[in-house]
Amino acid sequence: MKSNVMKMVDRRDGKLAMAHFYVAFIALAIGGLAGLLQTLVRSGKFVLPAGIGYYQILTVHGVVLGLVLTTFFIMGFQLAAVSKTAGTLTKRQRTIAWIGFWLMTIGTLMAATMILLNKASVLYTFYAPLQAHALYYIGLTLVIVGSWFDGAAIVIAYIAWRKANPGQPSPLLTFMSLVNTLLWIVATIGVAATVLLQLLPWSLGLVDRVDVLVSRTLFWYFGHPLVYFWLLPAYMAWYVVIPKVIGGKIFSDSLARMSFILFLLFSIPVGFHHQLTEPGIDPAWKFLQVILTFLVVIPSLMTAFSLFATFESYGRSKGAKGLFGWLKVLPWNDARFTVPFIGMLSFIPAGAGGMVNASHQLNQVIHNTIWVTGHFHLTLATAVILTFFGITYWLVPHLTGRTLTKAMNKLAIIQAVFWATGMTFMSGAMHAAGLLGAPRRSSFSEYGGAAQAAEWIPYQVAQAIGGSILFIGIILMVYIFINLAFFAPKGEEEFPVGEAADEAEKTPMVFENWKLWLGITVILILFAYTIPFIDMIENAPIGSKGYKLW
Amino acid sequence: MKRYGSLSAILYDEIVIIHFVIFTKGELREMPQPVIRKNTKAKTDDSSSLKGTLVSVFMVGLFLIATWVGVFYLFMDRF
Amino acid sequence: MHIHKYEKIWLIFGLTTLLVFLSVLGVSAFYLGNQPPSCLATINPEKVDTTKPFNKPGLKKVEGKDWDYELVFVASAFNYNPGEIEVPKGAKVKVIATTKDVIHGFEVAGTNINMMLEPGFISEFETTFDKAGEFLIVCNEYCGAGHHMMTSKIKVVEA
Repeated sequence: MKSNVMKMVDRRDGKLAMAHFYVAFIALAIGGLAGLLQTLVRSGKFVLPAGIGYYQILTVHGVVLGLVLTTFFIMGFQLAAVSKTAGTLTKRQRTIAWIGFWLMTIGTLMAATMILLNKASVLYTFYAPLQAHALYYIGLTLVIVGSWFDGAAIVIAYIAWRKANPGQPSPLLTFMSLVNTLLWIVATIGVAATVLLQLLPWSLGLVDRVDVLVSRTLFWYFGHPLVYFWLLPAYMAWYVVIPKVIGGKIFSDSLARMSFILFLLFSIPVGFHHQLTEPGIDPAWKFLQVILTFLVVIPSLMTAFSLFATFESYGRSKGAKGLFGWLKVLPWNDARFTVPFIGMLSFIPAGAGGMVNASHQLNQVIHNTIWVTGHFHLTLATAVILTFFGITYWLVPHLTGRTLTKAMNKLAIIQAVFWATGMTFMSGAMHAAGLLGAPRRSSFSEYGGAAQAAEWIPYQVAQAIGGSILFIGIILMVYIFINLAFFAPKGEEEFPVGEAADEAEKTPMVFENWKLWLGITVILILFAYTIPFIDMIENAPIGSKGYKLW
Repeated sequence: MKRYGSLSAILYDEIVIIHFVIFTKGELREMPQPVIRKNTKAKTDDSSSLKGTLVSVFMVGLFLIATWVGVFYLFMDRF
Repeated sequence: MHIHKYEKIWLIFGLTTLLVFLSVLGVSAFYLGNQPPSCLATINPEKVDTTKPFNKPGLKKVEGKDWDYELVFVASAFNYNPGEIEVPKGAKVKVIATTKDVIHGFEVAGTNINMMLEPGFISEFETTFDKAGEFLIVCNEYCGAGHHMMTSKIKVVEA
């Protein structure tokens, strides 16, 4: 691992990763604009021009940020991380990944076209029996299939490394990329099944009716591991990159691997916690998945400890005293640290909200209220995305042979301050309004002059203020990205890869036993889903015809 | 009323947890400082202490509990 | 694999907390009956209007059941039937609802009545309306262009 420390990512692999980032940041700009418009509409003081529908831009926002930005960024980052830590990709691996990139890009363009033509205002969750144009489903399928090609390149690179280094634990970043890829492949089987076997034949008119509950269940089998697929690359940066950036050590290599394995095991058989208020599922099975959901809290508790421990150990090695003296010596002027650190902080209220969401009957208090929107704007749109921005600040110049200048570093910190401020307003107001009952995914409405709805409006104005501040953050981010990709001064920017504090201690090889871990993953999935799924099919009502109600 | 029966149950549990926290923290203060790495050269106790980490994660834990209990209270209060 | 002593303390604390939460939820759900709405009954969504009890939406007094009233709602894009209803305060009510077309939400704002309505399924929730006032019903699952106009109202009045 040491020999890799100063090694640059191969230029050809760099190009591959950068291609992914271009799409990701175009998505950020478009999706961010859609988000701004939504908060303005919801304030009640703004009407969309030219007959554009609220739910059309809501679909743009969800698809482009939730599916496109995330998948492209994550795959680009993971490919770069594997190339850096397990060695340059082979020609074959790189070709497979390029095929993946183009499939995802073509799929994105198809889906985007259908949304713009207003043939697919079904949001990114596309719940049947709302029926979008077949090309929308085909487009999303291509995004998923393309991501499998990207994933295949990572899996093949991992296998090759293990063969070349028998008996050795794989490099930590490669290991983590592999876990997230495996998680993604197992999870996307669910959404691929509902799209290919149910929605696509139905939207093409080959079949008349669709089983709504089965489709939703397959979607949420995918929908929860999806959020962990977003989160784990952020954890990769927190565990491995941040310690190096601050000049410290990874708290424990083994514990980091263990937490990733726990995510693989427990983030999939938990989809029912998104379906807690639905008919047709026995509450005992819901509760079983609630228990499994609570188990996935454990690796995050471990992560919290590891991160604090990394910071404190570093601080004390610099002579910091007292209970919190170590906080003062952290490199607050370094955007590569400070920006993801703000993300880490936001994960505390995010996690607290998530535990409420998953708590069986407590879900009734907040289900489908705008609390939920506030929640995932802390998880995905703050903790994860600020960490992705933090990664961008060193990875993009590393790949383009440029450097992060002092001015850009400063701007990056300002960007994060805008983000944190905007999100505090927006997400805070969303959480509060949600507790009062304000629904999510809804355009501005006075609900016939109801007193309760009038109470929500000040919070919606606060959301618009927050959304506007966030949009300034997006403009700054896009500006910094363009600078780092095309204009920053030439130079060498480090790809920071931390070393473990407990290096003397050998990492147990059991973590690389994929038959074991994938085996347990499959058993847990079968345990949590088989009986309720058979129940759903055996007791299914007559299926639904398609509706286009937008 | 049965609902309030379980509210008092959770309040009881909270008290147990809070006692647990106070108790463990109090105990820790008197414990000798553990040394994390046996193979490192002579380090003073303070330089390898993770006291701040422990206090930090417990603050996170208490925040999680407060949020959860708060929404549980709303659930009990509403019909 | 070595785990720091403080980390063990933290993880034991965390696990205990999770266990306490789960126990509270479990006892509340399985012994006190506070389960989330999970009705297992099905219906033909195209024949809702002719299927009991949905052929007569509204409030009905019932005898010999664990609840005093049944409050029946039919949802369709983009309205609820009935559009407004009065319920006497203190009434023990079973809310019964379904949809005739796409998925809708059924949320009585400021209460625990919050359930998904899915075509082919009946959704039920039992509760005691023990606070007087006007409660707004909103659709909280996207159902089309008029989603945010879809509303009804429950007035809980002193009996």
